[in-house]
Amino acid sequence: MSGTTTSPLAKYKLVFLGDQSVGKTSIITRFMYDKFDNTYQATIGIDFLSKTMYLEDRTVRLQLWDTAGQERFRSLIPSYIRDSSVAVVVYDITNRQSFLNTARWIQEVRTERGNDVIIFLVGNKTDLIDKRQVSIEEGDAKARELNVHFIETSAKAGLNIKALFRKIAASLPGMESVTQNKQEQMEEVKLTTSTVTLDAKPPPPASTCSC
Amino acid sequence: MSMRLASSLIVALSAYVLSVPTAASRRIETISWNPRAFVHHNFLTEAECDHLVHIGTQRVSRSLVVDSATGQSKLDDIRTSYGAAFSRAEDPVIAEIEERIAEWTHIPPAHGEPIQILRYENGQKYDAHWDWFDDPVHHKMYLSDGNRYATVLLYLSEVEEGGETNLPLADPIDLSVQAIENPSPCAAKMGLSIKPRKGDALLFFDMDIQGSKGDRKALHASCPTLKARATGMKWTATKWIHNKVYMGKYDPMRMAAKCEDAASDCASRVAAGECTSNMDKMMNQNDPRDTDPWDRQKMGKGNNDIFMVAHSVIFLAIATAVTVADADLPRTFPGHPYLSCAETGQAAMRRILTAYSLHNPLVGYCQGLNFVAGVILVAVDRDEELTFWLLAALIERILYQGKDLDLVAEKIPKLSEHMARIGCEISLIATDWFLTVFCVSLPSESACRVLDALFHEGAKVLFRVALALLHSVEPQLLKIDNAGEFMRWVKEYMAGLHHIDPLMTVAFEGIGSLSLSAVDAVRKVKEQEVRALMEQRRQARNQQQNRSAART
Repeated sequence: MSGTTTSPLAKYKLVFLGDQSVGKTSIITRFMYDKFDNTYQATIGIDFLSKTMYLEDRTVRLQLWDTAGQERFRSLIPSYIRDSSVAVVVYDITNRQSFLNTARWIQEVRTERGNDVIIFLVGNKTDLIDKRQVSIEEGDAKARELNVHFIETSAKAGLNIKALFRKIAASLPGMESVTQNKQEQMEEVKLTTSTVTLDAKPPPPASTCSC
Repeated sequence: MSMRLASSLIVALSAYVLSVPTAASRRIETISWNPRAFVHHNFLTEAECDHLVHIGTQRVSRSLVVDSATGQSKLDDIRTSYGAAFSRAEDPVIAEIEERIAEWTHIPPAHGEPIQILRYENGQKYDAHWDWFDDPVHHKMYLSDGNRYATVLLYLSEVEEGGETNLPLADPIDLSVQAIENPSPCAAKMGLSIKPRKGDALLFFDMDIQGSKGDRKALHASCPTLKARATGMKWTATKWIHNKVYMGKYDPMRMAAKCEDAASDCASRVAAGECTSNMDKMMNQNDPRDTDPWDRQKMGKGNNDIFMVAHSVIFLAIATAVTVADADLPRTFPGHPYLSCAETGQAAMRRILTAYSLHNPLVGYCQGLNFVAGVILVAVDRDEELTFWLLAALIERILYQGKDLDLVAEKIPKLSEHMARIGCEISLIATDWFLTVFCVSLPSESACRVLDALFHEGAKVLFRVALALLHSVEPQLLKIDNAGEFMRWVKEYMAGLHHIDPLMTVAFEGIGSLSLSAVDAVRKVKEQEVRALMEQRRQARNQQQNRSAART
């Protein structure tokens, strides 16, 4: 399972975390089948999908683990994080609480994996420009503070989903030299600049919860 | 490995029967709607009970009753117990209990009288009575304190024989369920009886829902204690809750037990009747409004009607439950024409799930309930009330028993080993089976078949079906060497399982015997392991936070 294997079909485990209905399943479905449905069934427990990604000089198999977001399923999560290479922590840019909670999700991952994991903070639903509650700057600042990667996406509009997975692939252990030098083509999220904050309050300090 | 397997499943399942999944599970049982009466099992911990008894022991004196003609407290043979009063929020344990009572009843702590503790020795009792007052004195003197709206009775010790709380006029919801074993003659006579179990609490409402008049069905008695365990005494504590903020003017126990004469002319003033006409001065009481956080100021001055307050509390609870459930409503069987319609199916589901989360705040709304409610709602021709009751029966009567799929190792050992080898935890494939009782896993016609069996035969149907499923596809599963693929295969196989009868035959005839008590025993051990694991993780997280705090 180790990421440093030289096997042509190295397998990597990605776990998707985040609050209820922030769009974890939608992001995976967009990536897997390039489609979006307004009405996904809520994920109960855990789901699994895998996809082979063809990169410049090698092929990797991504195993995507989709989890349920409701608070009380949290006790289930650690066993899925345990041997993951990548954790994708998703929030909904129209739901400030889901953004605040990412600190806890990230903490959860760090507790389980320490620094042996690559974490991506993903702000989803950028298509809902009128409802934005978390600015791209806030997302970026938090990612820097917590030392994780950051990207905003819209699974509905298909924005930045491929870019997200390309970034993930590029960051996989043993991949540093392969794609990192080629600047990823990020899809421009022009929509965001004029509508930065609906909620003008400064971001609260990082969570100090001890629970 | 296999330890973790089963443990994470238990945690998932305990999410359902939140939050302590032992035999000592906390759960609320509705026992009657006439009067509105509920038993909260394991409301108090062992330690909390002992704490109250410990303080009570040092304070008790003979209990009084209120004379319905004069409103005065007096000794009477209808009540032969001994008692003592605690001040509101007297110590942290009592404050916590009072908060919990407020949460359960949806009535703020400020409406409660101070908790009274009672001790019944063998032979002692309290004959049938109502807790609300209809005597002229109370109505005139204590109108501002309102009337007793609800009673919460906390059972603090075990009683082997007698000592039941009897509600002689109550209409039990289901006598076959609520009948108690070996009732004493007093308890067997009429209505409904509740056996005292240490830690349990009984809530019943003494008045109609508007709080305008007493509910005569709320008549109740403490049957003579015949044989109390260990200490030889039955201990209970009572919290009376008023329909208005309780100002503490009327406090017979304080008068009887805690009052000390501080002035030299006390005796003459008592003789002059000042205890009735000038009680505030006589008692020199601190007005609880000064310190009580739930005070009138907060609720809007002059507007201390309980129903304004209680309703705002209830609406808050509804709002919270609804927000959580709302996110799931459009995601409940989105392909179903009725359930996907916002105005009809989803609105009905919202009502059912909200009602349930209020009815049973311990479970509240848990993801997965939406699917169960959806399948039932459609199956019973969209009858919302029936759906509510079936859901309640399922969660409170059928599902709270033991749950563990470690049975796989025992019943299908080869498959169990294979799963361990490829790292496929049982929770991976079985979480949705249990959390939605197969409603989201099987096609609905098959799920209904399972539900039917479940309602008829109880929780073990779930295990039988689960084991039968794994058993019937064992050869195929043994060929899959990746946990994720394993799960996908099972998911897809089940989604296409439109003809479930052959499987049900296996479930009932091909699995062999299944003992739930054995399961329970295993589960208890596992549960402790999970708790230890969670604690370990919590500590690790704290340490990490401390480290990162130190860095910044």
